[in-house]
Amino acid sequence: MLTALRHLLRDPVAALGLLIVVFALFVAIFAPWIAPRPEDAFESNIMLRLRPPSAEFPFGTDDLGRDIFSRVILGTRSALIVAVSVVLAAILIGVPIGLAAGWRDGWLSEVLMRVTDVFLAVPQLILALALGQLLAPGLTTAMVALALTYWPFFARTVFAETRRLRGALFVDALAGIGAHPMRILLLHVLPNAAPAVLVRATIGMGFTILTAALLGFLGVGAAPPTPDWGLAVAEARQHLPDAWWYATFPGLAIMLLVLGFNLLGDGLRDAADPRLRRSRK
Amino acid sequence: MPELLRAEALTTDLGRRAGFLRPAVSLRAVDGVTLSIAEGEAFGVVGESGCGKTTLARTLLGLQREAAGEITLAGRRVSGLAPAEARRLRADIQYVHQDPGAALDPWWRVGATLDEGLRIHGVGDAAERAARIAEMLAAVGLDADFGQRYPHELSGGQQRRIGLARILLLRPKLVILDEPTAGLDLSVQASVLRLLAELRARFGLTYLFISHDLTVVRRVCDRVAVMYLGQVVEEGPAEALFARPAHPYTRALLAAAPHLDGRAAGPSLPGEPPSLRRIPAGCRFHPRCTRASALCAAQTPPTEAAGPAHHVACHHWREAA
Repeated sequence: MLTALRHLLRDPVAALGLLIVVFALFVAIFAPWIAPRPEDAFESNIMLRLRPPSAEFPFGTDDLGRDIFSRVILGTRSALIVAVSVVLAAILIGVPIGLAAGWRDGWLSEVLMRVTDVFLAVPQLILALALGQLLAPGLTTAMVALALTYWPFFARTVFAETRRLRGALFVDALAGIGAHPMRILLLHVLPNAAPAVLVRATIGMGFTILTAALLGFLGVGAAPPTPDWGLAVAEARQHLPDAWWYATFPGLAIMLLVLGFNLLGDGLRDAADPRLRRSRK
Repeated sequence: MPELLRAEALTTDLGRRAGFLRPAVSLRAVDGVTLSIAEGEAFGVVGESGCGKTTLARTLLGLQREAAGEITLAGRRVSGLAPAEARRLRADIQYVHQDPGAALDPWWRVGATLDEGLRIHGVGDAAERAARIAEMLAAVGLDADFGQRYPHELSGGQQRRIGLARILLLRPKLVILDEPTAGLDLSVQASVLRLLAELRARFGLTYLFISHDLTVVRRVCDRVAVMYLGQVVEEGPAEALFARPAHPYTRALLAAAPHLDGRAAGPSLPGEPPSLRRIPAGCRFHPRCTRASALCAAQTPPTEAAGPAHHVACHHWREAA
């Protein structure tokens, strides 16, 4: 694990991604203490509305006179919570399905993969919008919709890895010495599939943050006055192009975090593979 | 020496069962092989790639189910069973893979892989497992700290030693060695062969040695069977078989082998072995045989004795000598 980290840090692009993600985590955890005006998350101050960036308000203020800098900082936490819970839920659904379907041919495998295909065919945004109409629109609904549409990617990734690995010589050797299939699957196939899952998960984080922001923009994600980046961009729309800072800074925050996760994902793929480890020494 | 393993008219089909809109595909990879391996002996199986050597090994192991025939292990019938049950009853037979590097999980340290085998075989005590692993690593000529390494950090020879250690830890009686020297340079090959001889003496092992390398088989094996397209065409004591090969196929293999003393190798066999999907009628070797006659194309040759414990399946073996 430590070697993997060391190799990750040797790759400047991945190290930058890691730096961004760690920075975002730090900001998310300590947001209430870092934000210069944490009370601005919910309180409006109409006298200060739409001020351009200044020493007092580094990112300017929004249409209710709230400090955008503080709101961007406070929004980090919800962005990360959404990303982590959606990806975790998707992994919990997708990985067992992929393992079960990939291990043996047969009707079970067929059924599981066809169900996966059906879910893969459902457009993410449409399902989220529909669920938002059906249930109460809000962050939870958006998260359920995202998890329901993201797990097939994990199922397919793990399915392909399991298919590849079940023909591997070391799996055959394990069967040869009498290992139980469950042991092979959980202790050998799963760890060997882990890098692919990890890469998927990291890129999925970025993707989820982006989609969650989009849902917020469309009004089925976070509800005002929650400090949400996507929501902020949506609200800023009416004040463009005069109040350019209103949309720009939350937008930059989205871009930075998504970029961070994507760079980290690419780096992880290279660093986590023990076979690549040697060639990079 | 008492008989350890016997295979009687063993037949194995490879292929898929029929499915929806899909006819059954089947290849007879091993066709009526009879073998008898005595305790403590090194029995060689030679033949070109694709002649069914590995399938034979997998069938004996129980990883592949036999279609017909009978396998007896130490006097006990172990054939005709479901795969899991067959494998359990044949725990005394273990298999060392052709590519021992790929047979190790790349994510597991070698020590953990060795430990796992013992765990699977019900050695519950961690201290005992550690002691047995240390002892076995020493027996295959590796330091104890090799357990901390990953498979890719080992050389080809070291990987082979680990592969052997892994199998010998399970205390098998019969070890099937699939091309144990393939892909090693000559000096490493020699040290691996020396190690194999040492281990055989030390642990009282019986070897089933699968190889296409005749020089190696000649050095190691007591008895040799020559396989062609899923059948044994000649079988006998290694000395007799190499000195007086009776089957034209054996002779061609021997002639094609390179010589270390600088003599030019003889002409190699014409063409590739035919596909198992289109097995020639009569003697399977006749399309490539220099002595083929009309009889060969029409009739399967019977197995005849060509000397003490030396059998050959050829119509013309007497003329060839």
